[in-house]
Amino acid sequence: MTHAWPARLARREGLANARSAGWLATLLTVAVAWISTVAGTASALDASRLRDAEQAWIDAGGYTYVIEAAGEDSRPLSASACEALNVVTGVNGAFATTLSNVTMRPASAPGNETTMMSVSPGIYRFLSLPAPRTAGVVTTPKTTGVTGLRDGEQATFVLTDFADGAVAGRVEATLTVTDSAKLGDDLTGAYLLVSLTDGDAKQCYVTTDAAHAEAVRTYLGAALSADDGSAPVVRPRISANTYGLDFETAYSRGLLRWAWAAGAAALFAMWAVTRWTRRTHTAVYATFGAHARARLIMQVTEWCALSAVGASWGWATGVTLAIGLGATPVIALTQVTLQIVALWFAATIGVIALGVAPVGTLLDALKDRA
Amino acid sequence: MRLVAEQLRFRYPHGDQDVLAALTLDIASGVRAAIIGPSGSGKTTLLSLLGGLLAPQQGAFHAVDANGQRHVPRNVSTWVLQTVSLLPERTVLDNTKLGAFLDGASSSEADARARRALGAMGLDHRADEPARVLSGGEAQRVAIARALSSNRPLLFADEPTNQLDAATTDHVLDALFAAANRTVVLVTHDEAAAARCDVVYRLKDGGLVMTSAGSP
Repeated sequence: MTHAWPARLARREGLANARSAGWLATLLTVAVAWISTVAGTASALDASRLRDAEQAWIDAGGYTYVIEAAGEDSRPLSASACEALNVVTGVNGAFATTLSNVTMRPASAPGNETTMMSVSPGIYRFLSLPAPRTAGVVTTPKTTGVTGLRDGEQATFVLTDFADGAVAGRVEATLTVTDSAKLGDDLTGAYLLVSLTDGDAKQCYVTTDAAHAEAVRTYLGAALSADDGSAPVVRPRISANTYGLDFETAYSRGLLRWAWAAGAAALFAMWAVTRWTRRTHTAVYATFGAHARARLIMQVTEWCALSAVGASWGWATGVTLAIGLGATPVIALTQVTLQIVALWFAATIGVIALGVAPVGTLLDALKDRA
Repeated sequence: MRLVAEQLRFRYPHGDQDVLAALTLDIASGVRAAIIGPSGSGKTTLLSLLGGLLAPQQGAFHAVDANGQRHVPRNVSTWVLQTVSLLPERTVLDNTKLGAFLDGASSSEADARARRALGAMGLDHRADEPARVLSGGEAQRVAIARALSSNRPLLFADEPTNQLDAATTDHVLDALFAAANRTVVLVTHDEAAAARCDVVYRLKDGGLVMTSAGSP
């Protein structure tokens, strides 16, 4: 005789209310879609911008250390010890350099003598470039511009004694032309002859990444210490972060990371207003015996039906828009998805909280009798 | 279903006097009872208390079935409210089916009951229209159809005919009283409607006085 409201009936009423909500359904769906799009796109663009800035920072020498002997009286670095760093976990590339007393020019370009430095083979791994099968010379476009030589070209180079101008030798080598930013200011403008395998080195260049930067820095002090135990000087190639950002914490400290929370708050407010304007509906159900659990199921079902459409729409638009505005596809996909999932769950928790709030009867709703 | 109220006292939170004071009532199963009284005398309040829409400050009320088992009236009753109580965006048929669903009717059974009740109210041709397009009188009749589509043994009706003309009122009351063994509590200010009930109570000074047995 007595029939409590079964969950099935509550779900059916919730879906029927969603279907018949008319302009309200349209308004809510559009609002969910729009807010999801904005939150997802903003976060994706922000994350993508940070990633690009970090990449530029890395390309400019971020996470690259330059190691030198502690002083003129200290023992110089070991070239082989520097080269051996290439097998250390967290080291993405390492090479040693030493100055020479000769200049270098292509045999085909007399009068274009340029400083020559000897470097170790690890320079190719440092630059993420393939090493040639023959001897190699690395330089930048600034040096090759006037000689007509191109990247990958096999050429003969003439070595000239710096002191007396006498020809000191000839080298057949494959030329590698690389970006000045990757090589750094100190090495730009010189021919780097890949010939240093052992002996002393003036400097050691080591590149790593954000995850290993501190560990590698600590390791370098011990690995490259001199025979007499004196620790070398380890300094970042870029002495200060001119980008003004700490990339390890920039995203977690960014406001746009919380876009989902603002979006969820806006949707919750909109849903609360909707419930208030339709409080008579709730009261009708309460009057006809719908208990709190049934009303909750009904409202959550209606919310899910309406918001699922809007969230899906917002996800598709957000990903498309973010990519269209220049975000990396992977970041766009990840950020938009995470933002919308977080937004939807947070808003749904609000909807549930609202659904379990006490409700009056139809008499209360219509006559304001509390 | 017998309806019993004992020593009910009720005052609205911001009111300065009791609307109902030590009110006692016992309506036997299957009886059609009318409660009449002037505006503001507390008729709707009494009905709301009996139906469990309001809670009394003092006293108790319950429904008792043929086996002597007590029930919360709200769980065994259906309503025709004085105020508009339809879901405006839903169709007339959807609104009417709600009454049947409360009894646990299947979708097809609810549909059949609702169409039958709408037919009794002369509104079967408007079944698929949204409730918001109905006139006040039509909405009232849909609310009555919703109550008729339910088989619950208690019916509370608060001024169910106040928006209807005399001819329609007679027809609606016929429909409301047609269900056998259903206890009906009718709140009205219409003496003629009250006269069709088995028993008539007059609400005065917060208490009930049985004034007459009407002509069923």
